[in-house]
Amino acid sequence: MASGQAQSQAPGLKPAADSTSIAFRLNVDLISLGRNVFVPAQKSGFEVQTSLLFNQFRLHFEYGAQRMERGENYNYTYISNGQFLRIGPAINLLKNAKDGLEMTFGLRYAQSTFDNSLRYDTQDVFGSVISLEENNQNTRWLELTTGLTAKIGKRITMGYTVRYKIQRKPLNSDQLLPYDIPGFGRRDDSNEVGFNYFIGWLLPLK
Amino acid sequence: MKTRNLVLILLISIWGCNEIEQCQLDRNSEFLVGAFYNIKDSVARDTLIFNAVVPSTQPLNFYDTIFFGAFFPLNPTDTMISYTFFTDSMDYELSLSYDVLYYLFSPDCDPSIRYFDLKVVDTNFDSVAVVGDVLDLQIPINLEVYF
Repeated sequence: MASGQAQSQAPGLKPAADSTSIAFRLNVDLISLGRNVFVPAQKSGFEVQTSLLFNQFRLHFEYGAQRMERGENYNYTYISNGQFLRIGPAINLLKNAKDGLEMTFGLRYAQSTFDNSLRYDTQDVFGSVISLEENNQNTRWLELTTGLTAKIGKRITMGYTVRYKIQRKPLNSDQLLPYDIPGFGRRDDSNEVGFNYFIGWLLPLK
Repeated sequence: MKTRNLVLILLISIWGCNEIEQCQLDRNSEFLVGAFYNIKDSVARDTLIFNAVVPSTQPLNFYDTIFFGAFFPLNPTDTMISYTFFTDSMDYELSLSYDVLYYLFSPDCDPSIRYFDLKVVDTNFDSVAVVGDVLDLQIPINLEVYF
């Protein structure tokens, strides 16, 4: 019985006397960092996830920033630049897994605030050059998440999260409808799928 | 090896065609369609001779002969436009207002411009009716002009 409880704890934690384990974990998204290296002009940003682990339960706080630029080979430049925040619980279903393996299911509430701008040389009969900017747009949505995490060092973990993003609040605009929503994806898709591949550092608290 | 190359070429071709179709799916139009009718019997005027059709902001002559209908461009950086139709006997004025919304239909196409809420502000034609207040390729006529 005692060994079963110890196996349900977060990776890297030692069994406590009252069989309760609490830990803090900081994850950094490697995909966002990779984009900064390989396609910095088109898509750049970062994403960090902090988690409070309480036995098999987790509470996640996630924050990120994203800048997207489009129209490199066309007559326009569209830029979306903003931040996003997610918060929500998850549960580890692998209570008895060895080596700190976690398989989680969770829910997130997410919110994004961003600016977007468009510069477009229409080359029409009026010689119009459009220059528009709409700031402080915001929207919110829900995410159903699942993921796997494995321990790769004493306090280092690695894993991924798959997100199914739903119920996005519609965006209104006077002149310029956004194309990219930081943290969500494309505006014209009501549902989106996201993927994070992260490396994490675990700090046992109890 | 040859089969693999053929499949690869086929896939690239399909992808290429797909992108062209993507832009063609955009239904927004940059031109309003005006049709001209005789005020006495509401019969379409099949040939109209104007000396010039000129927007107020630009020294451009779009038409001198109109066969029943014509396309008129709207200015995307403004929400009003006036056209003057010059004839030997008299000049006709037509002023319109509209709203504009910009967005990317696809990153692989030029930005899309949605003109909507088209209204007649002023005219000295006998009558002008807005029959399609959105500039959409599936709306055949936006304005019916009677004189």
